[in-house]
Amino acid sequence: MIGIENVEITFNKGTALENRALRGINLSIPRGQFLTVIGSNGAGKSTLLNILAGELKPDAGRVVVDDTDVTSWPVHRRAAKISRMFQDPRAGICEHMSIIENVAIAAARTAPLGFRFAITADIRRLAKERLALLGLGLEKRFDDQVSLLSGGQRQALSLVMATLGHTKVLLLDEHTAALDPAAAELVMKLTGEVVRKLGITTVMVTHSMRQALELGNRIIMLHQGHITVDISGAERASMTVADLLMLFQRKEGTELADDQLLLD
Amino acid sequence: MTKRAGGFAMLFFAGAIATSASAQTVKKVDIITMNDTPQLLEVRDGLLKGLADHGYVDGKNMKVDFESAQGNFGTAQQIVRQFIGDNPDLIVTITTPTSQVAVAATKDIPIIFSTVTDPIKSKLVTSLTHPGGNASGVCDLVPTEQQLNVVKQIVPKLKTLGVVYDPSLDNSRSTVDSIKAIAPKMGITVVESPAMGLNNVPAAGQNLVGKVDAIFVPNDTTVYGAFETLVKISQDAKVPLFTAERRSVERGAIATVGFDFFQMGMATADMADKVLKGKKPGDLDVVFMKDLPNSLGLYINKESAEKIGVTIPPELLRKAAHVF
Amino acid sequence: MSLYALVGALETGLAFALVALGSFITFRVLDFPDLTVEGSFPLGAAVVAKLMVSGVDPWTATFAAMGAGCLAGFATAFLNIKLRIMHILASILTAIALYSINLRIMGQPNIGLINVPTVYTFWERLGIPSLYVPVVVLAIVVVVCKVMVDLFLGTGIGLAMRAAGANPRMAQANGVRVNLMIVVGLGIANALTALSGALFAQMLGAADVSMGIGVIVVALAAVIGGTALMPSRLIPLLTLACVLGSIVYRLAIALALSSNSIGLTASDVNVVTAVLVAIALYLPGRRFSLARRSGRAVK
Repeated sequence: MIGIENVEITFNKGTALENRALRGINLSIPRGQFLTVIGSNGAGKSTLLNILAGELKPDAGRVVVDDTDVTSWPVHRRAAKISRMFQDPRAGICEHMSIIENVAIAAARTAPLGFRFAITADIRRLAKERLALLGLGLEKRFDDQVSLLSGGQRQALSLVMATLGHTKVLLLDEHTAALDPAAAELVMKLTGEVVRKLGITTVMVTHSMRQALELGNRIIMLHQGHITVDISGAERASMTVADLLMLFQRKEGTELADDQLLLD
Repeated sequence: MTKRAGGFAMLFFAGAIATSASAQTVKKVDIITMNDTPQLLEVRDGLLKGLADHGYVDGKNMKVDFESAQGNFGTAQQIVRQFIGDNPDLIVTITTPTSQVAVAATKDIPIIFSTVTDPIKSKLVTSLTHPGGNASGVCDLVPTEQQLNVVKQIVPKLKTLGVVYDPSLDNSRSTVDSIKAIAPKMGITVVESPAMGLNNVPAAGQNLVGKVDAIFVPNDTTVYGAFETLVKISQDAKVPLFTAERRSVERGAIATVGFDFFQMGMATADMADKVLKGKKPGDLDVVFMKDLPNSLGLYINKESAEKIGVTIPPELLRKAAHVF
Repeated sequence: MSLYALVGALETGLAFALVALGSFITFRVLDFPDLTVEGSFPLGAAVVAKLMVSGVDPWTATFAAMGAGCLAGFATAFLNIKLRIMHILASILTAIALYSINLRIMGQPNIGLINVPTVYTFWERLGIPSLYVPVVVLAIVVVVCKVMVDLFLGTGIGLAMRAAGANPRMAQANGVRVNLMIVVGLGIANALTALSGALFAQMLGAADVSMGIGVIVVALAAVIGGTALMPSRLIPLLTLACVLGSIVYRLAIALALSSNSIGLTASDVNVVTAVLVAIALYLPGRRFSLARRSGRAVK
């Protein structure tokens, strides 16, 4: 249901800093799949996500969601179909607004209210239902400012916000990377549950090979703008982190010097 | 005993009458100005001196309250309301905007305006003679024809005249329009050089150098605020500088046949005196400074002229009221 | 303070409360420092004056003035969004341009509005003493505008606008057209400002091209002072704080004017403003640390 066809993008073209971030990506993601994207820094993971979200326009190629070519659509236009979680817990919410106000904004992503009042009984009901699933007690704190919540709580809230309405695609942009281990663990667990329960097509970018193996059902690895590894199903199920590393080295013929990929 | 009581009673009544009489004769005069630039303060000073000459002493038989709105219209409105609450015998307004605020705010308290150029255009009065209503006053309309005559006499080859002024000041706008109306008849072309604010005055002056034979400045408080820079430009570039008012000639302009702000203050005091003695402003004709006898005098600054290399015709020097 | 001085403070406070409401939308909701008001306030005055002396009835003229203010807001939005000029600079550019535009509209620096039927004349005929008419009219206008702003900010679009100001990236990711929100917000804010200018000019008796000088300081004093003294996350309370802030500011000036014994004059207004705003900013800083300990949500 998501089709990425021959997508290329280059930054700072023609200068000394020229960076061909994506060099012809072809990817087809069927409905309901949970895809993890890994790769070293500068591999193009975030760029790929930004192109999916609409924050960047590719130099060449198309992005198709459910048979609709959304390549030229700006972020706000795609938002009804594609939602996103950011790495920074402050980026996905409005700190100085309340929990219920944030949920209302997110609900309007797929059901804009225009001149009708934003915080309706329906919204409250929906918010209570979804927040209760987290088990964090947020459904009892509707009027609290989000700035009072911890990083982990904010990401959990963002997760709920990103999965409201008839969202078709969920983009997770290293969404636990800025959290302490306990909170990261919690948010990961919640991510798994929520995605499983709602069956949303998900693309997750992560630095952690362990996360890539624990969540989802397909892994792709980006290196220098190409997809170098694409594993799913049984092959993937039997892999360990060490196996994954060896696979990478074999494909690229290089010594993996990236600490971040190893740690974890 | 009764004689004594009677004596005391008489003293008592005399005292009561005396105090009530003196209480009656303390006149409250409230003065408001839009800005407190030096020229406008001169108007106030002239007003106070004039009132003193008429016998009013602040603190004894007159109480004066002077406020400046600091260029802020909201504050002007509040000051005027405050004055009305004071119930004064007279409100004196300096500059057009404050006059408008006062006239709009009260139809009962007598108002004498000052430093207004065109009271009919500004909607302060409907007629210059016997205006009716509660307002009248003194106007600083510049006698442009006489001014231009003086300029032409000192600069016989005058073909193009530059004017530096602040376009946001109504008084200046009126004067410039008046100059533009008479200039063609005298064979003069006018070049406007607007200066929006004090900081733009030097540039407005520089702008005219090489394009004009002389520069004229109307009664413009903004330009007068930076007058010395204009004088310098005029002397460096050898362009004769003329103004509408006397003090600026002292400061370096070449000549004027104008009045000065202090005088205007005193003329305002004359009208104020009439009102304080019981006349209604509506019964007083609007006074134009240029029409007052002895108000227009030729003032010449010979030194400035020499610095620029301009010779003043001797007959002008003889006619002059004062030569700096 | 005499009754008249009190009335003077109330009427000017209410007139400028509309600018404060507009500045609340731009500075606080949209996080867009909008200095267009220095130009759109006199624009409102210029348009209303020119139309009124040309024979247009005051109500139509006042609405036209609002429309003009709205356009001024659009101009700033255009400069910021399409030409990518930084928000504060874009607004300054519009304000500068408006200075010349206002002169052109009026044809002269000052238009007198005395003895011309104004929006206040109608009410005077109803029998309300003319001293109180501006206060009554302005109070009604301010209440109506405040309630409309409160309601608007609670709608879907209003909430979207708040998100656009609080976190544009998040707002966009949630389907909000951030640029459109800026255009709408600036339009509304400057329409309110022009309305203020139009009503003020009719009360004052004149429209003058230099009327805009100092308006932004007054509006900010009202917004900052008002919301700092009444910290709240509830929009209706925040807008109330702005309105009250504007009135309190004028009351302070009236006090300064009437208490010659303290030696303050209108010239000291700027110092009074600075002191007021400083106090207003300091106090919540102390209150904030107290509320934090009790765990309640405070802005």
